[in-house]
Amino acid sequence: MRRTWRLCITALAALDAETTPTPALLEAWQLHQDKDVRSGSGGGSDRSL
Amino acid sequence: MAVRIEAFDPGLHDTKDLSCGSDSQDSFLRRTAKRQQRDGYTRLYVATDATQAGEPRACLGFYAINAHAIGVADVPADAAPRAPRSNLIPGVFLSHLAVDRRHQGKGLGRILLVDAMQQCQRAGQILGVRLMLLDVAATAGEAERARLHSFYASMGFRLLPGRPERLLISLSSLPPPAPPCGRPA
Repeated sequence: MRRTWRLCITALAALDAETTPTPALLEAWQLHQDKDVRSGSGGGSDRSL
Repeated sequence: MAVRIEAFDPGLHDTKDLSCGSDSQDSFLRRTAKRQQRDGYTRLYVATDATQAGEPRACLGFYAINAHAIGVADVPADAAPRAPRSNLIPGVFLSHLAVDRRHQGKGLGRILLVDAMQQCQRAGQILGVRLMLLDVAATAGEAERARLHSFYASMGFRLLPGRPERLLISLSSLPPPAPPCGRPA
């Protein structure tokens, strides 16, 4: 039952392009997250390219 | 290369050697940004080489963001469902995003854009923010404008009807925000 609901929600989300991130955005987001080291002051962060 | 993105501090960051290939972007960073930030018109973030020792730190790229509002009638209906009675949609305007020529083509622009998006999400945790908007430089040539449109479209931005230079993205279409600064994920 829970799996069915999850499938329905996933399908509805896929129909709504407004709420679906693009593959390039997801990739850049992941790169940003993976390399991120928050400084904790002033919103600074370190990343490796 | 390890890159650090941090709030612009005129006493800490050296902008004089940055050259993006766009006079307006270079001029903004060198001549206007400091005053606009001091006066509260914009907030600037710069990318620096995290391995660089000493100060000042050379800037590899930057972006600038400010609060913005746009009329409900000016955006596609699906970008403002159940809009407020004020008929104004709160947003953040990305006024500048540029990378030094020597560091272009390495993905730094995308990293800066994601960082700007995440700053919008953080702002959205303390006040209402629905959209992120930007203008593709009117001074850019046709080929450059096409390249910029393609870049931003790949990241999910879409054209504002009737405003071919203006692009927008809804914050609801972004992945979950990064954890707040100083807190573990």
